[in-house]
Amino acid sequence: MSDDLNVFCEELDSCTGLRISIALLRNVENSKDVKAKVMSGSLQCAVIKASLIVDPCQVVVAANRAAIGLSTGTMVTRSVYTELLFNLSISKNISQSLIKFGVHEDDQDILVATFDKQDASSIDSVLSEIVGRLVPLSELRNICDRKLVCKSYKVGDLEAKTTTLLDSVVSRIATSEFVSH
Amino acid sequence: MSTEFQGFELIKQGAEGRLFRGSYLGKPTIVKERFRKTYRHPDLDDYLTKERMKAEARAIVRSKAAGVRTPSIFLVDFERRRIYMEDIKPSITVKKFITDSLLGCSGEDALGKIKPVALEVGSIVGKLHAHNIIHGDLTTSNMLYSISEDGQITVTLIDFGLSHVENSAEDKGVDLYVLERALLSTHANADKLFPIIMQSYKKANNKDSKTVLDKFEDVRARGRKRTMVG
Amino acid sequence: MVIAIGFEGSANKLGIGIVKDGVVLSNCRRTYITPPGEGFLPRETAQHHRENALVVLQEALDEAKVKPEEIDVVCYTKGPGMGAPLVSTSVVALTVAQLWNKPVIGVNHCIGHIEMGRLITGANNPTVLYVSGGNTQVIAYSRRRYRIFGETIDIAVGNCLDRFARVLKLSNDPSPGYNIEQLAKKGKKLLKMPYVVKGMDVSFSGILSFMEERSQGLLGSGEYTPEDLCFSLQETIFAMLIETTERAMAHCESSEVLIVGGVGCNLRLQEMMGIMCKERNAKLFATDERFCIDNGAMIAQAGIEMFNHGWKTPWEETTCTQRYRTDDVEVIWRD
Repeated sequence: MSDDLNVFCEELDSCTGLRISIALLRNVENSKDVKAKVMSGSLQCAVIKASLIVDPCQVVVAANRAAIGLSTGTMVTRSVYTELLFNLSISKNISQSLIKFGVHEDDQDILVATFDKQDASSIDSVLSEIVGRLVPLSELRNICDRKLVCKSYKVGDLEAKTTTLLDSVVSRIATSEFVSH
Repeated sequence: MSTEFQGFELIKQGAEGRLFRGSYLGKPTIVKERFRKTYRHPDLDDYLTKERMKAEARAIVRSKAAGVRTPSIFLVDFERRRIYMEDIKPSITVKKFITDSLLGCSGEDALGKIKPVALEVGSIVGKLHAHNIIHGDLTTSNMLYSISEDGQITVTLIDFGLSHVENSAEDKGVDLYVLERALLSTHANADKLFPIIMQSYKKANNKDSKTVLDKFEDVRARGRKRTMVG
Repeated sequence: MVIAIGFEGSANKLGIGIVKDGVVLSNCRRTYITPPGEGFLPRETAQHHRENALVVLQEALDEAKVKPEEIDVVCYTKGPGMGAPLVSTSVVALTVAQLWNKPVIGVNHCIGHIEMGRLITGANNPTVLYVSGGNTQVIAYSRRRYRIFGETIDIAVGNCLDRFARVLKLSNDPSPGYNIEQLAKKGKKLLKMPYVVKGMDVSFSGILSFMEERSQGLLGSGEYTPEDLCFSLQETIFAMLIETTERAMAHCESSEVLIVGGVGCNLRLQEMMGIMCKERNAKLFATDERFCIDNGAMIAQAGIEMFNHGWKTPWEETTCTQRYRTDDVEVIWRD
């Protein structure tokens, strides 16, 4: 388990026995390489486009749904990591969701997430494969493209006036199966 | 109670289900769990429960889009029949806010204090109806009052268990009627509150407030009752 | 010591019964039964009541071993119900009242059901589910009225069942609902159909049109049997009734339920209500077809309560009305 202050951990639903670890990296130089390793399965993690993330909680809510899917055998994608990316999206189209929220070859700001059993974390070994600068998650404030988030989650002006963007986003993630926008 | 619910406290038990308060995913959380009704055919029970959970969550999300504050939703779990949502903190019910305001205050002073909240209540109900969201159980217990450090008042609407989305003037009229009845049965100054609420309701829902108010008057006149032929 | 005679004829049953201080001395009845696929119409039903009135009256007096002069009050159903049958029965009641020189009380049919149910079962202050061919109401007593907490917003549950029986061309003997109940016992496959509960109110017209439109196709394709359809219809509409009754009980913090009305003798409905009550630690009260189905004794029983509290219907008000709400009556005989 990482004791790095820059890694954010949260326990997921107790029925899953899992926790999520999240870290934010900037100026990443080997995104292409990392992406290839994640796709081949040699690197067990989700790599997320940081500009679409408002707050770690957004990832936690999507990860929780993915982990429950894993433990109940109701996932719709190949692995819990693709399931996490798919759950971040409100679209029902799997490949589009993975492309949208996954990392592109030229992305420099990326969010890394691993699912771990309570007593061990694999995020350190994942982080060691990435050439970049580990920064506090509070940096998301400067990285997040709020306009793009609003567009991706279809949040209108009326809603933005009264509801926080995080609230809008997590509530949509939690209900994406049956609420269309 | 199952062990997975450790750390959660039962706060309410009704005919349809139970409410728990605790922490989930690191957030203060309310869990609404619906009972299995064994008198119903199990397939029918599963189907109904799922449809109602969907309707409830859908109304909460749609209300946000309409510009009305509602709790964040963290998880909708059909298997366990639970909706996990934000516990709005710090807040008190609008019911308590009105009752407290009336304590040790002249009626006039209290009304001055309550007026901005009443206007906000009218405004949120108007916004809901402008977007065809019927709440189904508008009472001051289902509205939470909170105030920010800079004095900004927020009213958050909760308990969408009887909600649906439908463009029906009749249903909107009944919604207002339920609210008026709830006010009359709970608050001594309801006769002064309701007109204030309606004032801002009309502003927020000026598109069809005329037809809704006509329906509301109809419903009021017959007291939601129909004449029966035997 | 009060002896009352009650005349009931608001629908297709003609009932005359005699009650003496909470004891039913006689409760005679004739039912107008139409051929399969047909409902009963006002004119023919009224004719049936006229033709049978005197025979049933004699039977009721003989069985009760009561002479006309011993009777204290004549009670009749004022409404709600079908106009022609109501009037044809009330004419008989008013005539014998004149002949015997007795006071008259016009009774609300729904209140008759409630008071009879209370008398027979001993329920004290129950939430009442009143389900029949003409009515569907969830009722609770409060401040001198039987208040309607929930009701159908269109057709009555019994009407829905009767009309579905016509779709299947089931016999109307002894009643369409009874025959649906027997078939439903053998049904297995649940058909999904509309389920319409709004707060404490219910609606059945959508379900009926759904079944009217699809039954032939579903049966023709062999996908469902008539037994399955009866089973599915009962499971769905009874669940709606139990749900609204439970909501009313929670609202009134009530721990008793009484089922009255013709549909109330359906054993599956009673079983489902029993399960709900058990889960809530509440008590269920129900009666059999003698008292659930429209009868004369129930009109006499409600009449006795009213009579004991000084109620008499003035002669010029001894009319009938098709529309007569349960909560229109001031319940002077309860606290």
